[in-house]
Formats: sequence, structure tokens, C-alpha cells
Amino acid sequence: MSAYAIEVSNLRVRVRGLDVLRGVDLKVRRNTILVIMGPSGSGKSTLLRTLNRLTDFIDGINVEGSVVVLGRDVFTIDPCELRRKVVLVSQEPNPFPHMTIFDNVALPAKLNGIARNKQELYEVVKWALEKVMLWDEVKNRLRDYPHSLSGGQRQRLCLARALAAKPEILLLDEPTANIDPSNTFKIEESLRELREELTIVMVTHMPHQAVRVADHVALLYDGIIVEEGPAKEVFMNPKNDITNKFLRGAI
Amino acid sequence: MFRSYFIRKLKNYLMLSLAIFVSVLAVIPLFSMLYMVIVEGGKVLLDAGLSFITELPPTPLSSSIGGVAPALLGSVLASTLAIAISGPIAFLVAFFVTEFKNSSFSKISEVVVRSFSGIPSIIVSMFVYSTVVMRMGTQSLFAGSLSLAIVALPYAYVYFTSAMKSIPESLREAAMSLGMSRFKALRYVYVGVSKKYILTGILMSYIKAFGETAPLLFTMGFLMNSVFAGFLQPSNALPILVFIYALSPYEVFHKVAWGATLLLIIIYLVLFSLARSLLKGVKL
Ligand SMILES: Nc1ncnc2c1ncn2[C@@H]1O[C@H](COP(=O)(O)OP(=O)(O)O)[C@@H](O)[C@H]1O
Ligand SMILES: [Mg+2]
Repeated sequence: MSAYAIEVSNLRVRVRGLDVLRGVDLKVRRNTILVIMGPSGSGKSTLLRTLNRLTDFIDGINVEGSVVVLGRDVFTIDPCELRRKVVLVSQEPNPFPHMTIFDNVALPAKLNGIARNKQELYEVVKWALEKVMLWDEVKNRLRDYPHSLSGGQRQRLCLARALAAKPEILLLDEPTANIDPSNTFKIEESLRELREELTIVMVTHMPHQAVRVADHVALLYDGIIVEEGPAKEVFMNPKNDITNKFLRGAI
Repeated sequence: MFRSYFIRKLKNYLMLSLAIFVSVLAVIPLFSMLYMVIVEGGKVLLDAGLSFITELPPTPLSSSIGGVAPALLGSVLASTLAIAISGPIAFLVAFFVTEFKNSSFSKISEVVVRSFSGIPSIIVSMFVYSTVVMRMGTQSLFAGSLSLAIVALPYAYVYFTSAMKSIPESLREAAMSLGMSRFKALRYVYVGVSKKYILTGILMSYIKAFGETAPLLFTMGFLMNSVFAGFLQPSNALPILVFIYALSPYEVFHKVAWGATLLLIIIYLVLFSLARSLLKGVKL
């Protein structure tokens, strides 16, 4: 088994004539957290989506290059199977409005055969909600619907839903954009712990967050990775001028 | 200055009055018809009471009004069967057309289903007559339902398509990013998210089927001496009963026709307001 969970080489993505990714090379070690930074519009979300082929649903998209995830070429395997192992949490919270809080988290566990009975299902749901610091807030209203939750709570619910699928790779698109600072810190702590069990690729446009959670960072700028490396090195000693500017908040 | 302002006001006033006058003129026939149905039908319903929906129709010279039980039951059964046949087909086509919009199956079935709505319903009736009724040797509840199903199909399709389109892209993405196949997404997410639209579609197509007359003319037959004779036997339906009784020479049949018309309108209003209130409750 390769030491890398994700190996991307020369990835080029065009959407209706627009070059979104212009030759991306990227490797992510198993059980590490890679944070992809970059200004908005640089292609971060698109890069994340190519990793579990959510790009299939974008009209007029053209993807070239090689994407190997968990040792397999993503373009030759069943995309549903891929996405059960490589789960993405979108930037905007999108809980299922017709399902209770409990069922939102329970569904992926059921679909992926994580729990064999009600007791196990409850345990998985509780575990996932605890990991995202939501359990205490919702444990007395698991039968309520997500519309009764705040934006931040909904985002955490979606994170919990993804965790309950027990993925091997978690793709997070600005996961804490709607979440208040104290919960953000706690979630970041959870992510650090979760790293023992899975590989995380997280997108953010906030350098501070990358400092706190990343093992490795990559800076995406205009569809190209201009710098990547171990987080400490890149932050202490950026080699690229664009990285330097980005970290100082100049772009 | 003042003068032109006055003239403008006057012109505006005249045009407005004209518009109101024309609209009133347009709705007068509608309301006078409704008024007649309520007065004439109301008398019959009050007179007959509950027995109007439980009893058999009167004989031509009988003094009691009797009831429209065979027609009511026939209408309910035929419309239900029609929706049971056309609903799932319309739903699956709507699902395919919205989810796999580039496949040729989708493109073809979309055109076919939509073109159904352009076929005059009397032609549908003749088609079912020549294929089903001729073969089975008798008009029947089943043949009538089939005819209604064909007429209701494009209706249900349009409603189900809008149900599918009501699903926000973000929820589609949520389902897909958890690794659901399109069918799993349909089962666990799409149906639940759009269930009010789907129910509305079912109700509206049911209403459509309930009020249609022409599709039943050659197919359903007529039944008045028992409430129900079997699915493969002739049946009755409210619109057919109204059609036949209104043209008959007998006084008591005219009364039954008025009562049945009011009954149809009441059922229509109840189902319609149910559908409206369902749609109002839609929130995501
Ligand atoms: N579905 C799409 N349709 C059209 N353009 C898109 C689509 N997705 C992304 N793009 C374009 O690709 C570029 C990068 O977008 P994105 O990956 O969302 O960047 P980021 O997440 O870094 O803000 C943008 O210019 C955007 O307009
Ligand atoms: Mg983005």
C-alpha cells in the first residue's frame, strides 16, 4: 500500500473554456492533514471536488491528468464507491431538511453498513456529534429537524454526517466558515485527533487556521500550486513571493 | 396644466371602468352557471340528504330522487386506478429526465409524454376502445381507468418534473458526496425533500381524472342497477351520469344531474383546497 492517500499529477480542469486548474501536482500522506490555502477563485473547491469526482456534476467540465486516491485511479472506479470512502463537506451547510437531526447523521452510517443494530447506530451518531462539539447542544432534541439549528450548528451537523460515514478521506471545504471561534478551536482539535483514523484535506482562505491544524500546506494561486511543504517550513520560511504576500494578508 | 391633469385623470378613470366592466361581463356566465348549479343542485342534495351518495339512481318515473352511488364509486375507483397506473410512470420519467437529462431515453420519453397532452381526450377514448374494449368484448372500469390514465399522464409528469426541480442543488450535492447512487438519492433524499410537491401532483392529476368525461365515453360503459359490478365490467362515473341524465327527457333524471354536478364541484373544491394548503406548507 502506498504511503500516500492521494496522488495527483498534472491535473488540468477547464470549465466552459475557463482554465480553473492549470497543472496541479499534489501528494497527501495517509493520516495527515493537508490544508490547501489560496485566495477565493483560485480553484480550491474545484480541486477538492476532483478528488471524489463531484466534478462529474458540473456541466461543460473537462478534467485531464491523473488522480490516484487510495491507490486507485479515480476515473476508472465506481464513483459512488469512491465517494463513500472519500466524503466531502461543502462550504455551505446542507443538512437534509426532511430528516431529523439524528437521522441526518445516521443515514450515511446505515448506507455504509457502519452499524448493525440500533444500539450501534446510536453510538455512531453520538460519537460523530461529539467529535464536532454538537452532542451537548442537541442530545435532548435529536428528533428535531435541522431548520431549528443555527448556521454554525448546521455546519457541524454536516461535519458529523460526513464522519458517520466513517470515510478514509475527509474533504473539507472551508468547514468553519460559519462557526464561532470557540467551537472552531474545538473542531480543529477534533480534526487533529481524527487524523489517527483518516486523512484530511481541508480548504481554507484563512492562514491562521492552516497554522493551527495543518501537517502540510499547499498554496493554490490561479489554478497552480505555487508552494507546498510541511506546515512549519512554509510558514516560517516561505520560498515563494506569492506565499509571502498571502501569509501577510496582502492577497 | 390643471386642465390636462384633469383630462388624464378622467381618461384613466374611464379606462379603468371599462376594464372592470369587461371582466365582469366575462365572469357573469361563469357565476350565473355556478349560481344555478348551487341553487338547483342544492335543492336536490338537501332533499336527498346522505342517501344521494349511498343509493342507486331512480327509475325514470320514480318519485324519489335516489342517489348516485354507482357513479361516485366508479369515479373514485377509476380515478384512483388511473393515478395508480400513470403516477409511477410519470414519476419515473420525470426522475430520468431531470437526473439524466442528456440521455437519449430521457429526450425521447420527454417528447412522448408531453405530446400526450396534445391528444384530444376523445381520441384517447377511441384508442382504448379499439384496443382494449374490442378485445375484451365489453366496456369496463378497467378500460375507463386506462383511458383516464393516458389523459392524466402528462399532467402528473409536469407536476413531478417541478417536484424534481424543486430539489436544491446543494442537497443533490449532499447526497452525491455521501456516495449515494441516483436511485438511493431518490429514495432517501429526493422523495422526502419534495414530498409535498409530489403529493400535490398526485392530487391535481386525481382531480383532472375525476372531472374528465370524454375519455370515459367509449370505454367505461354505464351502470345503474348495482353499485359495483367488477373491474372488468361496465361502470359509471359522475361526469358520464351528468352527461347522460341531463340529455334524458325525464324530470327526475334532470334533478339527479343537477345534484351530481354540485357534488362534482364540491369534491373538486375540497381536493383543490387540499392541494393548495399542501403547497403553502412547503418549506425547506
Ligand atoms: N460550476 C462552475 N461553473 C462555472 N465556473 C466555475 C464552476 N466552478 C468553478 N468555476 C470557476 O472556477 C474558478 C475557481 O472556483 P473555485 O474552485 O470555486 O475557487 P475557490 O474555491 O478557490 O474560491 C472560479 O473562477 C469559478 O468561477
Ligand atoms: Mg470555494
